[in-house]
Amino acid sequence: MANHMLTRILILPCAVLGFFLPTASCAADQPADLTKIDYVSNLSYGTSLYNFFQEKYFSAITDLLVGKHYKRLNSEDKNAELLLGGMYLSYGLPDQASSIFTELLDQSSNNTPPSVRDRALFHLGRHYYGSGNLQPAESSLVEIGDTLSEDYEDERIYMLINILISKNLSDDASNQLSRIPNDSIWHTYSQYNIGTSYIRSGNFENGIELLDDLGTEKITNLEQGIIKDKANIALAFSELSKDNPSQAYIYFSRVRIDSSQTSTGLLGLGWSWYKQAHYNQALGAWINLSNQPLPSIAKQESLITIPYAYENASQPNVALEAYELAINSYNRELSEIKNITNNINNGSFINSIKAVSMGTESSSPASVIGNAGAATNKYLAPLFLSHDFNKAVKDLQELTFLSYTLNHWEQDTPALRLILEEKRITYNKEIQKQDHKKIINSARSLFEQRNQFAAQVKAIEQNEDTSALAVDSEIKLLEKFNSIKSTLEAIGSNSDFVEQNEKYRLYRGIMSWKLETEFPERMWQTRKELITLNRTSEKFNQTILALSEIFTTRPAQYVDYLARIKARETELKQLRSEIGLSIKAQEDLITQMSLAAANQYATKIETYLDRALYSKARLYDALTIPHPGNQ
Amino acid sequence: MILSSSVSAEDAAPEQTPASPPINRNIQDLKNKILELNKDLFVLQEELLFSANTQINVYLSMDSGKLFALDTVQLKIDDKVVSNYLYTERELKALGRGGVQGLYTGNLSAGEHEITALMIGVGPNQQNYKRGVTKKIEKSDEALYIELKIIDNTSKEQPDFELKIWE
Repeated sequence: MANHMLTRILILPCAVLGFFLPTASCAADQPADLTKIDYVSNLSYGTSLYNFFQEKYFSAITDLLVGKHYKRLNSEDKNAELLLGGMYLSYGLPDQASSIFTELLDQSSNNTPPSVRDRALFHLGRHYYGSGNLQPAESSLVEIGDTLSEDYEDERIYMLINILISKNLSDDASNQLSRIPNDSIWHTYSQYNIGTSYIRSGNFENGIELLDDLGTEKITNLEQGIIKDKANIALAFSELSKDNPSQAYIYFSRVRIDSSQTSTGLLGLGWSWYKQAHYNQALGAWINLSNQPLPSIAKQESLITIPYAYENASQPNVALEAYELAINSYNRELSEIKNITNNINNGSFINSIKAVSMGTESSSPASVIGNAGAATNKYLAPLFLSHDFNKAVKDLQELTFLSYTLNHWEQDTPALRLILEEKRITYNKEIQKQDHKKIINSARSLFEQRNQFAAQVKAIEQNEDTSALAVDSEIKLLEKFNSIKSTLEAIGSNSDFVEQNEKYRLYRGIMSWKLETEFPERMWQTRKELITLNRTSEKFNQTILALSEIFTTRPAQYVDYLARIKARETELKQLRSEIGLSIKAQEDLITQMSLAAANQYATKIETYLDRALYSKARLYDALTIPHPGNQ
Repeated sequence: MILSSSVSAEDAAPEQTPASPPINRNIQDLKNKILELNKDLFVLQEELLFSANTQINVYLSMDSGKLFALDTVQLKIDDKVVSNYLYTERELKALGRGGVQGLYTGNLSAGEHEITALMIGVGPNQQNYKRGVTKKIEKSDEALYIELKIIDNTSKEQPDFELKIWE
């Protein structure tokens, strides 16, 4: 029933309905902080958002998981984890989302910023609320600080209000209402829920006050309009139940003539006239309803209330004709529903919705449901608008997309094997050339020479061996000095060579003085050359090490790659079979839901048909069988 | 009384959503398993096709897109076309909200190269707009990340295009 649907809209969090009902409240389902990002400093984060904004949740989550694997995301940034949790929720994986939020809230990790903590609590609370676990939902929602965005804060209060209503604490819920701004849609929803809760508990005064306020509100959007109509209908039927049809008439009259509630409003309007014995006015409302273009249970009910009103308006012959019209109409509808049931049973229905945009990651349920055919759309419209059916179709779409994804990988894994084999062949060819080993050996020899040079430099510095840093011309001179020295020593102490000895001492002293004074500068220059040499040889050494590593580890890597490919192929095969079964089960579920809705509709029509047949017979008898008093 | 299907305020009673039925649990398990497998296969594919020492990644981002409505991007490396991309409205909206598109991933040898991006779209005053941006790049033995940024320059009332190398 339409009103049950609204109840769900009001009670279920938009996280669950977000996929299906593009309402203003559901637009707030996407984490508000995501919609406000105007600059993304992290590319992995950004690519994930790119998919998320296109409602490609599977790809968006994969991007983040791959980013995490390669440590491309800043591990200190808790927002990335929060985003991943939010994406899991959007993709219908609440358990994964819940474990991320719980980890973010872990008391032992006190480095979670308050804003991230509050949003994690909010998502966790909303998850519990959506799954009907109201106690943990309340615990999470009341623990939230003051960092939430306005939209989230309004939704938080809305959920807390509904939790209070579920505990029959309508007054406490009412006291919370002022915490949501009047112009927020959450305020409208909350006010409706509190109002109806008062009426349920028999507190008509408070209930009527809240609903009447909604029922006379100036509407600014479609969503608000629907709630306004619902409020007026709720008020009107409560007045009818109190046998106060004149007041009920006032409320029914407020229902707009072009809304989804028009049929219910017209039906009730007719009853409010009827109960005041204003049969012609009741007929006006019901005839108007019977001419509504779309089928509905209210419209079908009007077909039988019209002759009922004619009877009471003392127009039995017209009533008889109206019963006949109703019977024909019911039979026609039953025939059409039978065709629809046949189409559902023979698989045409499921094939028609599978034929459109299945396998596309971001297709909406509405895009495929619309392909079910005009007649089916006409009679199964309430089912097609229901959350459960949209979720079932969405699940089928997602399973079909996952099946396509598995197909894609099944086709690609042989290519991965080929690439691996190609790499292995290339490696083997290269290794056979032996050139690399020669390079490595000669490099090792050069590296050893460099080490020897470094040791020499160290020794020169320690021993202050100034002659070791002499240039070529100086080395020649030093050699000459050594030769002269030997000659002079061989001659011995001869007075004829005093002058030569003195000259040798003088020149050798000049040479030593030069070498000693220039030693620090030469040492600095030598050390500088050694540093440059070190850098070059270190780089060279790294290349050699990398090459050596390739020679030793690459064969093992190839074995590991092949094992990983084989493992993934096995998983693919297993999942392929599981997904086939799941798709079949989901198709069966959709078929069963559709059949149940068609049968339910048919049962209602059959009941009306029986009543119409009985009433026609009764009236016919009354008209044809002479009354004893009239004889 | 025939009145039977009518709505009443009673219908607004809060409902508690039942716990997930088995079929939903099964779908959730499958989704999660395939997500993990998809991640593993992407990682494997990247390791096999794009070694870190030769890998080059080009991304595209843009701000509000008020001064430039992007239609296509052509990417060239060393004068060779490596990517042509035509954008859908949905993709442009995602870019406008801060999403970053992975435009190209490939392999490039170490050394100096030239990258050119050619953007075609509708610029200020609804005029057809075609602009190119070129940059010399030095490929080392580490993966290279380049971001092609389209920025609205409100002071000049013109879009700016920039190739940014991520360190």
